[in-house]
Amino acid sequence: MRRTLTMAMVAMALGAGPARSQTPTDVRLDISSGEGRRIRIHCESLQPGGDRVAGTWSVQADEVLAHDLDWSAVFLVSKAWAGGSPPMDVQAVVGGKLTVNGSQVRLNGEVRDLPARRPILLREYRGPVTDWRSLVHAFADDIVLQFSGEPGVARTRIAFIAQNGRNKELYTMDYDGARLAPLTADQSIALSPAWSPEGSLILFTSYRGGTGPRLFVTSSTAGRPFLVSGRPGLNTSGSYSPDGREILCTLSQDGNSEIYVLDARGGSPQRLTNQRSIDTSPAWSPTGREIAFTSDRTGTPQVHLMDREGGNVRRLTYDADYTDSPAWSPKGDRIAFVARTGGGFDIYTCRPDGTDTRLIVSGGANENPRWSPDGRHLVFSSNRGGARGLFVSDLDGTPPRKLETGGLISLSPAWSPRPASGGSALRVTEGSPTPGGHP
Amino acid sequence: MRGAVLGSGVAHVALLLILASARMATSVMIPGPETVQVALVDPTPLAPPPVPKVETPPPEPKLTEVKPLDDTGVRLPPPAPKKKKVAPPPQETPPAPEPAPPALPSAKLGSAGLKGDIAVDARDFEFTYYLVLVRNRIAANWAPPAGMIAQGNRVRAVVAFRIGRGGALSAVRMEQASGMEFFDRSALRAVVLSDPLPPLPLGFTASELGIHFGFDWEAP
Repeated sequence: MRRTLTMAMVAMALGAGPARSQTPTDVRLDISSGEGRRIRIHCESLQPGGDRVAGTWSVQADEVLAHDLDWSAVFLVSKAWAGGSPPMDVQAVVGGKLTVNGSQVRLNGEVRDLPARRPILLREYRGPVTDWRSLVHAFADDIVLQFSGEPGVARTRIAFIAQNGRNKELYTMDYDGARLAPLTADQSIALSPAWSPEGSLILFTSYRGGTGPRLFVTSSTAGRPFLVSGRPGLNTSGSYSPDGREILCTLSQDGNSEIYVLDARGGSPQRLTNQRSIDTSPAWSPTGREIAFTSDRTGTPQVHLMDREGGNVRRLTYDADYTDSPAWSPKGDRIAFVARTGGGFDIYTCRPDGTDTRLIVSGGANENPRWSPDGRHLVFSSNRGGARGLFVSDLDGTPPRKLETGGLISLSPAWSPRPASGGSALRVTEGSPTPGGHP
Repeated sequence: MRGAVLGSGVAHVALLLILASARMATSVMIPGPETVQVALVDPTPLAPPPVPKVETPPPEPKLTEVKPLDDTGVRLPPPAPKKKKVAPPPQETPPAPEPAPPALPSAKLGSAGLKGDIAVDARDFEFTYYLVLVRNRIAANWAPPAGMIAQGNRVRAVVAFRIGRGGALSAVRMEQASGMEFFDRSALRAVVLSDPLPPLPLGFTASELGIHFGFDWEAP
């Protein structure tokens, strides 16, 4: 009457304890830090169905899904179509079916354990064929959720600035570089984009109109920019508060750069800093209660923190002669910043109390770090490897990967929030578990 | 000069070989088909699983920089029946469970002698990958209390909780207190911080899964 599980782990059953209600099965597992370990997952090709074009789509979908899982920083991916048998320690296999019928596409995604192939996740995704990437990304996000307790970021987008000669225009693209879309064509200079908390708007600085840098807002999908703040002097580095009701920015209407909070329409300015020094690059904490910013009040530019009202200012960084560009992680546990070390600019993170500083990226000039909405990645601009471009670090010691942005010279990225679950053309149906392979 | 370079090269190659072999050795411990044994129904204790003989990995150094990718999975030191003087034949052992069986596979977390175990309330829960995820999450959230060294030589607390289909925790309670309040609090905090856990696998059809998570500390 003894059954052995061949799939799972190093576990040993030691029988029922008398104190436990339903004769629990004891599974003994060691405690050791599980952080930073990727889960091995094996991707099998999606089976094409329906129209003949499904064969072409499914091959592309295979690669998009494998990229999503790899880039989630949760999985170590092997691919069946790359040849070879799955590694011995694979914990789950991903596959399914991709069916195209006219203008509609259906993805029946499956995740199963090995070797028993019991279902872990079975889900059906339907949508217009033009949106097949979103179906694959949604499946990838669900797989990440299934193994990490938190959905992935495969359906997010990244806004950035593309340089063409003297012009800098605002663009957005999928988080993996696909579906590139220009948002401005002003033949002017756009700078420092920032998403609204629900992802529908992008705030940015622009020299359009020729009267110096002003703050504008535009729809994140299309449309024309609206002026938010055109006060005398600089109007730069705007960002929405976590509740979307306020805008943090740098204005120089009173002589030098100071940090202000405006309402979401750009009115009722409240000045938070009052210094002869230059205060700039403000960033909200995810609670909206604190603000990180750069100030040279101590002689060199350094990242400081203050309360939302401008009080309780304290210096965050001490170890470099120049730090800038703070970005607070979505969970609030870390702050990323740029530090000048020697000739280059490196990216570090530390806790909000200034401890536990970790080097994330070095070599060349690495700038403008911005967090992914799950806090597992940082996107940044860099000149590593020649032309200026965008890179993503998974924060786990693996080398940063370059985002292909259609050959554009790209800088100043900003990662979108996750899309809202509703309001999409995507329809999702939960699968039902098939009978297990055991009596 | 050339000799020094050559010597350094040889030393590096040797080091790489040692590292590579150590890596291969640990990869044997990665969950694979042969290493698993879970008795799900019969409460008779099993013999220790036929785990390849491997060395206990050294305590991980305290990290000050980004943690390198480590895909070694769960570490399984050889099950060492430390306190059991006579190992009874598995088939004849009556189901006489001990509250804290001494033959736990154990691994050290940092320098402290921390161990843990998981028990589930379901006879048909066959997804051990899920328990590993639970273990990893809770272990990552467990900040062992400082000052344990001075206190006794063995401490154990068990926290019970239930996981809903979507991964949300409920009914978190202290099932077995250690008698040291700050240790119990650290265990409870580790569980509460891990909410929500990953959703339950589809193939497990019950509406929730009961977990008993044991936190052990042993004097080094």
